[in-house]
Amino acid sequence: MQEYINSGILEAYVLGCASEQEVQEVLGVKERHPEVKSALLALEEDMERLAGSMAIEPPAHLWPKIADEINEITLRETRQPSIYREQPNYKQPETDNKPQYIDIESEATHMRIHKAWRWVFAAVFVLGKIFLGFAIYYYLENRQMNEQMNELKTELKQLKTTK
Amino acid sequence: MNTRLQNLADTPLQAKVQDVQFIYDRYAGMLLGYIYDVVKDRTLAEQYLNDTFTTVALLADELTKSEENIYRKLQLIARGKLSSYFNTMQQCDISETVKHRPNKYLNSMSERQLQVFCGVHYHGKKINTIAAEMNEPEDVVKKLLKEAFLIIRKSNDARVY
Repeated sequence: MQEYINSGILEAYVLGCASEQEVQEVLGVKERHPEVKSALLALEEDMERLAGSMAIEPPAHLWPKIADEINEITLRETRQPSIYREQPNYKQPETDNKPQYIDIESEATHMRIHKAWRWVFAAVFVLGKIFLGFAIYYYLENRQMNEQMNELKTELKQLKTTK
Repeated sequence: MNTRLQNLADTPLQAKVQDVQFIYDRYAGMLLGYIYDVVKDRTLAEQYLNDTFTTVALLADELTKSEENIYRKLQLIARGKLSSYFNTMQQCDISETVKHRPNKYLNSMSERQLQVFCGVHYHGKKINTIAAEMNEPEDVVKKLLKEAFLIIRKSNDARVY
């Protein structure tokens, strides 16, 4: 077994450059021989030691960014309805021939629409202003005409009384 | 029966972030040092570190509960992320590697040991590739790798005692 440990295969395994066959072999031998297991542990400590001596302090802004990304990924996964997730042992629930309803509660207060609608909204707004302008114009004109009519009526009455 | 679509509560999410943060606090510096030695660009190294830890989030349970060395697993994840970068790398320039960031462990290695160690560790090469490059049998390359590790151990023991 010492020969196996000295062969260099464990170092290749620890560095991740062993072939798949070698990896399986090392894992099998590791389970059977505690000396191989302890040799691997020692090599992993050596790797950590080397890495520790070459370590670089990560910038402070990096962790919050990573945490945000993790939150986003996790939320994206959990928000996916369970029906779309892989469920290898999924069993249809007992329904007793009763109709099944799913309550869907939307928490969103905003809706998203296609950008093309902004031209429609702009056109409706402009036309609304034009119609409002016309309405005010005709209202004022109508009021003026009514006043003139009233004046004419009073003039006619006055003429009739003078005759 | 109320079958509302549910989101997970905040607690498991926070627990997951805390698990990853625990690993990050302990190993991010080591991993950034390793990645930087591979890519030799601080911004790019930070980006790879970011990608590595977002992958770690998916494996956090496996990493923390497993008996295997966490740093080794992290390094394997980082190597996976760097695989396409490894393919674009030029021939391993040993003097450049040692000059770039002098290190007592690397400085103590012979040129052949360094060629094997740097080839595997910083250039993601397989043993058979290095054997072909050095025109040596794979067993000789593995022995050189073993010697490189012994130097790391001896250098540390010399420092301790």
